[in-house]
Amino acid sequence: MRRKWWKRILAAAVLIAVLIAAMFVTVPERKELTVLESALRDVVAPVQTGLTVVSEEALSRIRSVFTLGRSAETEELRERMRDLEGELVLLEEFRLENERLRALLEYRDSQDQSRLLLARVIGRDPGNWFSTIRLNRGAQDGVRQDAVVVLPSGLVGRVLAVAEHSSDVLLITDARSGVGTLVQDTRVPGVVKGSLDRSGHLHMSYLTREEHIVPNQAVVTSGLGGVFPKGIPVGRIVSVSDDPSGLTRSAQVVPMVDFDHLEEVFIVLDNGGHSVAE
Amino acid sequence: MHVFVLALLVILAVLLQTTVFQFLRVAGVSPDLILVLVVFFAISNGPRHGAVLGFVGGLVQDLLSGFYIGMNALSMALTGYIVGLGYHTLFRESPWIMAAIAFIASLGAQSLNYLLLLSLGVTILPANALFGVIVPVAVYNSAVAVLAYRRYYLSSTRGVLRNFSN
Repeated sequence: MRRKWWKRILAAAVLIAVLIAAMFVTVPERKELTVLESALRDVVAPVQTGLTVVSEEALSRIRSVFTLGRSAETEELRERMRDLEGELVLLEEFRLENERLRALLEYRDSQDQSRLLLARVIGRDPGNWFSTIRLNRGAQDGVRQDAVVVLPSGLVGRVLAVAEHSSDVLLITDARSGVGTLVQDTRVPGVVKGSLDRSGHLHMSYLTREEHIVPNQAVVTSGLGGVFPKGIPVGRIVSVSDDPSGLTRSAQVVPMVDFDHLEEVFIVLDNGGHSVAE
Repeated sequence: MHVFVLALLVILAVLLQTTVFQFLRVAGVSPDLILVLVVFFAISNGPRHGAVLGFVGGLVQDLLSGFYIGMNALSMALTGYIVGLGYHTLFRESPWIMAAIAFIASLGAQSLNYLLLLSLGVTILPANALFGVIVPVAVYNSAVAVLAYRRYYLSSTRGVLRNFSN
């Protein structure tokens, strides 16, 4: 009897050890996925695609019942307004950059080095700890790790892992994400991080106290860090507060992108390290 | 037959969790339907069955996520085992008691996930983890448990899931 118990305990210990080892092997931020992980993602991807299509259709029907009286046109206009707001920030970025960097305008020709690949969101992380999405584009479409993911309204995130026919994107709302940014009109740098506080806001930290930072200022990527090109709209400041240390300030930033309703996104293929405002 | 129905329930829970409930987030979180199912199953069938279903359900969730594979399998298997220890002692008829068990089990499972993530180098402030994920998920899970338990109970006492452990 006692021997049987020892066998069970040993089996449980081995299983726990295997699971812990698997956790460490499958952490993100590795150069590439193992063959098994890549194959697994590609097997799961078509299933997720089908499920997403079906659930979106079902939800749109449910929503149409609850939003009777709110015309589809209103919803469309709201969507358009969000896109235009992002475009406005982008245009402002064009203007400022043109003023400061007139001498570098010859780089405009390099704009066509950026290719945008349209991708469909086929799944989301089923848990609550992380904000990642799965796209229906992978290595075979030219997607590589750290490729930037955007929408006309602003920055979505970056590619975390690439399988043959699908890829996983770390959204900027994820607590593990950090993006080098600038307050657009004052050029004050800071780092925008995701959070778990469920307010839907991003957290911009390391802002200097001397600079004038007020709500409604736009925040764009700074280009520092080598992943995100400069000038992509990230969000708008909604509040600013002093840090406990008294040396720096932090801001709450509402993202430009509506992360609750991501359906299609653009993957920037080979941005060549150039600003989007070039 | 039982295993087939249970597999279908796991698949249904995964489907709902990864699709419909992603759009029905409350306080920024979606419920952990697989964990709720594991709690129901463990309390009706004992620790061994609870642990096995927890392991399988958690592993499915891990494989869909694609990262930290094993985290949910471990936390849910452990939760299923511990909840299953109440198989003979807890009053199983009341959905409110089941909601309380689901709440406590969710707190435990999510807290274990948090500790595992910390050990994997994912830095999340304890307050953010507690009030951003652990407590909201536990509340949502217990609400789902209240709504869904009656149907499950009928199925486990008179329906297709009856006498699973026999």
